Parts: sequence; C-alpha cells; structure tokens
Amino acid sequence: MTTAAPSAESRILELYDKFPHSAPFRRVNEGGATRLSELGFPKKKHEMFTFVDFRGFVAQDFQYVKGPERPPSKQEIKHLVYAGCEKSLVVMVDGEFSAALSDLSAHGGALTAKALEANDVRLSEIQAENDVFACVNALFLTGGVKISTAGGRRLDVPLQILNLSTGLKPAGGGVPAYVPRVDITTSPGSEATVFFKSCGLAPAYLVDGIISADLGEGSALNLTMIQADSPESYQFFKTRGRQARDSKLNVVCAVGGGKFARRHFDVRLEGEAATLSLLGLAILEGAEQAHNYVRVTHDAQRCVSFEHYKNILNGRAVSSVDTTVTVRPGAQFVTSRQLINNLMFSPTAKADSKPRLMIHADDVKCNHGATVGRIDEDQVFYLMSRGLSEGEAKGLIIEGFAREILNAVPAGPAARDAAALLLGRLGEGKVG
Amino acid sequence: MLEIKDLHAGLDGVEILKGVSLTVKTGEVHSIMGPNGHGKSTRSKILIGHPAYKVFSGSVTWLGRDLLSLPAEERALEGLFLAYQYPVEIPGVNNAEFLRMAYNAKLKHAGKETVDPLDFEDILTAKMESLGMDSKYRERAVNEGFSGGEKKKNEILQMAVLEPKLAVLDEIDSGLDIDALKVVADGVNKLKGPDNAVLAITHYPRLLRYIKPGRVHVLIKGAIARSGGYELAEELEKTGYDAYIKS
Repeated sequence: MTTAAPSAESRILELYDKFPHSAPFRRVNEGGATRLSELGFPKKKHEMFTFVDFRGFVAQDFQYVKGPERPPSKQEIKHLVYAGCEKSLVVMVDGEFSAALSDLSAHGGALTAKALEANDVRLSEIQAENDVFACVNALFLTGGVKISTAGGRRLDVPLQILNLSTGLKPAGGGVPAYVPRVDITTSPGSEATVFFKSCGLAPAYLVDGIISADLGEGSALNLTMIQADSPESYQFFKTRGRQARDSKLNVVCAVGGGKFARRHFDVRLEGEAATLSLLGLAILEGAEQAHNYVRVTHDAQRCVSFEHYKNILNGRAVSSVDTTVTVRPGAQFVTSRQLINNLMFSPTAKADSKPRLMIHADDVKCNHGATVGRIDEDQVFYLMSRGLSEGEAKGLIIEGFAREILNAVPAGPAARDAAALLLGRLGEGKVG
Repeated sequence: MLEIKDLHAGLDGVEILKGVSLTVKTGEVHSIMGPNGHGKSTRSKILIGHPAYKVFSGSVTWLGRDLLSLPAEERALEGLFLAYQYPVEIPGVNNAEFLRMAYNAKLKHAGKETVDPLDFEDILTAKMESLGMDSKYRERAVNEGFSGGEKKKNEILQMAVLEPKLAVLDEIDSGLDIDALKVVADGVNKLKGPDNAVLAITHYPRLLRYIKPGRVHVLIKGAIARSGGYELAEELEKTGYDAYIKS
C-alpha cells in the first residue's frame, strides 16, 4: 500500500511473500491470497466501500507483524482489565492469543479459550468472502482464539476480551499491522456477556480483525465492543454471526477512538425465532472516520432484528451506515427495524445513511429510517426555560442522544468505561 | 409581582397581542380564558422568553425588574415557570437527572448549596408521593413516549420540584381525563400560597373549578375584553365566547 489504490493489492501480496508464515496456517493464508487477487483492492465505486475515503489509508507503510516482539506483563495490562473480569479474561496481543495473560478460572470449565487452529478456519468461508479486508486477515493469519461456552446455563461473570495492540515499530520500519481473530461458540441454552475492548499502547497501527459468533439453539450472547484505540490507528473488523433457533445476539458497538474504523457485520438468522439487536454509537471529531457496513439475512420464520446506529460528528469527520436487511423466501412473520440518527455540529462533517430492505416474503413487518440534523432548538429552549444555561441544555441533550445507545451496555465497569470514553469526548469540548 | 403594561407582541412579524395589560400579585390565582387563536399561548411564550416571539411595544415588570431584558434561563431561575401546552420529548435525558440539574441551578442562583443525587432522590420521592405519581416519571427520559396526560403530569411534577414564584399553566388541562385533571389540579393547589401566584390559561372552566381563581380575564383578539371574579368563568361556560368575538 504505497500511493495509489491500483497498486495496493500487489503491495499486500508483496508483503505476503516476505511474511514469516506459520506452516499450519499456510493453507488459510494461500486461500486468502487467492481470494484477494480475485476481489482486488476496493476502488472508489466499489459497492461495499462507497462511503469510505481510503486516501490517507493507502499512503501508509503498513507492515504485517506476527505476534508481539515483547509481550506485556500482567502488571502492565492490569489497568485495562475491568474490575470483576480478572479471572474471566482473554487477552490478544498484536493479534495473537496470549494464554499466559488470560485467565478463565472464574468459570470452572463452563467457558474455555484455546489457541485457534488452522483446521478451525473453513476454506469455504474464505473462498466465499466478499470483504477484501477479511481476506487480508486470512492472508496473514497465524493464530487467534477459540472461545466456547459449555453446558446450558448463564455465565455468572462477564468475559472480557482485551485486544491489545502494542504498536511497536517493526524492525524494518513502517506502521505495524495485526490480524486478530476471535471465534466464539455458544452452546445450546447458554448465556454469556462479553466485553470486547480494543486499545493500543502506541499511537499508530492497523488492526484487521475477524470476530466469528456462532450461537447455538436457545443461547444468548451479549457482546459489547468498545473501541478505545489510539488516535492514529486504523481498524477494520468483520463480525460474522450465525444464529440457531431461539438464539439471541445483542451487540453494542461504541467507537470512541482511532483515526479510521470500519465495521462489517454479516449476521444470518438461520433458525426460527432468533433475535438480533445491533446498536452502534460513534463520536467523531477532526478527520476521523467511522463506517458500518451491515448485512442481516433472515433465513427463518418469526425472527426479529433491530438496528440502531447513532453518530455525533464535528470537524471534518465522516461516518456512514450502509445496512441491508434481507428477508429470504419463506422467512415469514419476520420483524425488522433499522434506524440511523446523525447529529451534526459542523458544516464540513459528513454522514451517509443507507438503510435498505430486500424482502422476499409477504407476511413481514419491516421498517427503516434515518435522520441527519442539528440539535433541536425546541429541546434546548425547553431545558433553558427550567433554568439551565444554553451550554448545559445542549450538553444534556447531546449526552442523552448518546445515552440511548450507551444505556444498552450491561451495567458495570464496562458500561462506565464506554460512557467515560465517549462522553468524555463531549466533555472535552471537542465535539458539540 | 408581575405587571404587564400595554403589551404588543407576536410571531413572524404578525401582531397577536394588541395591548394587553395585567397585574398579578403574590398569593393570587388568575385565569386567562378565551377561544383558540386569540393570543393566550403567545402571552405565555412571551413571559418565558421564547426567542421566536417578539415584543413590539409595552413592558413587563417582574419583581421590580424588566422581565423582557432577562434571558429565558434567568427568568426561570428567578422563579418563573411555564407548564407547556405541548411539552417536548428529549430522548435519552433522564427525567430525574434533568430535574436535579434544574433544581441545583436554582439553588446555585440563590447562593445556596446544591444537593447530591441521593438527597435529591429524597426530595423527588416526597414530591411524587404528595402528587400520587408513579415512579416511572423518575426513570424515563423527559416526556419520551409519554401520553398527552402523562406529559402534563410531568409538567406539574417539575413545577412541584422547582417551586416557582409564578406558575404559568398553558392549557395544562387540555387532553386530560378526570383522574389526570385531579392530579394536575392537586399539584397546583399544593403550590398555591401567600408567596407565589398562578396564571392558568385555559379554554374550559373545568380546571378552574378545582383551583378557584380569584380573577378571570377573557382574552379576545389579542386584548383583554373583560375581567371579573370566578363567577365570570361560570358565566362563560353558559354563554361561550361568541358574544365577545362578535362585539
């Protein structure tokens, strides 16, 4: 990735040739390389990247790194671990699973984590991949973590997954790039709450990650993703979800850090009466970008999906939410709702919203909508007429706008962290 | 307490109030009655300082100060309260948290110590219990998803907490069922005292039966056509506004 988009895939393949591959994963890496060659690096008019500005990205000299040169100690990451999650912790450092830093003793076997093996990655999945950045993940993959719940009960302690990027400069120079992969499987009837926190120890790096969530029958996964990454970092994350009958997947995605974040959600509700809730909040300033590309497919009857994205933008920030819900033939009695709200504080900020429906069944309830606007002056006046100053009134309204999403994070230290991270940006007076 | 003199005011350059004068003293309850579109709500918006409404001439004196020179928040901090006809919804802003901020803003303005969330919880609970209000008003976002009646009751809760010197009630009784009307009237009666005043704007006498205003004014075509005691409200119920409109 040097200066122009047309040469980007050849640059990636050049890095691929030099990369110290892990022999067992060679098959996966080759599958990624083949698929990357077929897809090519996205051009401006690529349907999947319509709203994404790659100009700053392709100019970076990214160097893919195989694990950390010097892993941090437990003491060094202690401040990043949520209270209560000390014995319910999975740590990824520079894309690699660290068994030494992880601790699942709180679960006594009801939740396990082990290093991802090459056989855990299906080649068919890579061959069918439509997202070039998910291919790049496969291209440089040397490991990852596989997390599973066992039995059919609710886990008492939430699990924290800490995705840490050291950002240490590669020996040959350039910006380090990591490819974490986290596979989560929930056993039938189980329920788990997972806090996925992504953060860095240096200002600049690239994370190109995959999260795979496979939900068993009647299971529930409450997944909160908190992006607290460094100011010059780039983030690509693809989350694949597959839901069996009666399963519940609740995702809250809070973006409060990083120069560029693109999240791709591809969730299939395969079993009857599965439900999905997908909530997202980004508070952006300067030239930050946050993009959500969402594809939800209803394969079965009586399923429910709900999406609500909110963005607060200032400066020259750019956000996009491109979401399509597809209801497949025969998937009757589906209920689906998509809502996108953008609150703008600058004439130079840009928000693109594209909620879409593709319905192939005739007895469904689906709706979608989007708003883009400034703060409501009637709301401001109402609060001022109760004695609040204009600043206090606006602050309260903006916080309320964000709180609608933040309040969905399960109560506890993660909720406080997400609120402090995102609302802190408002408090600094940078946004709003 | 409040003295309005020959007030001419309106919206979007159109004069709606055409020379209104009114004096309200502490301990008094006044009612302004009149048909739709004759300036009742405009007067309330002018009093609270809504930026869309403009004063063309006249004066409003509030506790010896020029009310029209004060920004909206200062009017509120000085004890003026408007219960809105159409309260706005503010998603995500917790009702109790907002009320605590407003309560503390008022304390701070008066040079008093502010209260922490736990102390305010006690104050709010006591007010809600005295009004017989459900705890949902504490937990929900400001007016979000409230029915028309719930919104009006929430206005009364705010009034009860903020204990204004003058409460202006803008058609607070519209759209209320009998039970909600009693809650609203009860809230107003609990506020009434020798140190404050109430100005109730309404179409109908039914609220007035509960709060018994000492003075009733009929507002027609932007001016007060007649003033009298409570018996004027009863008379209006029989005769309607037609005679005033035609004259």
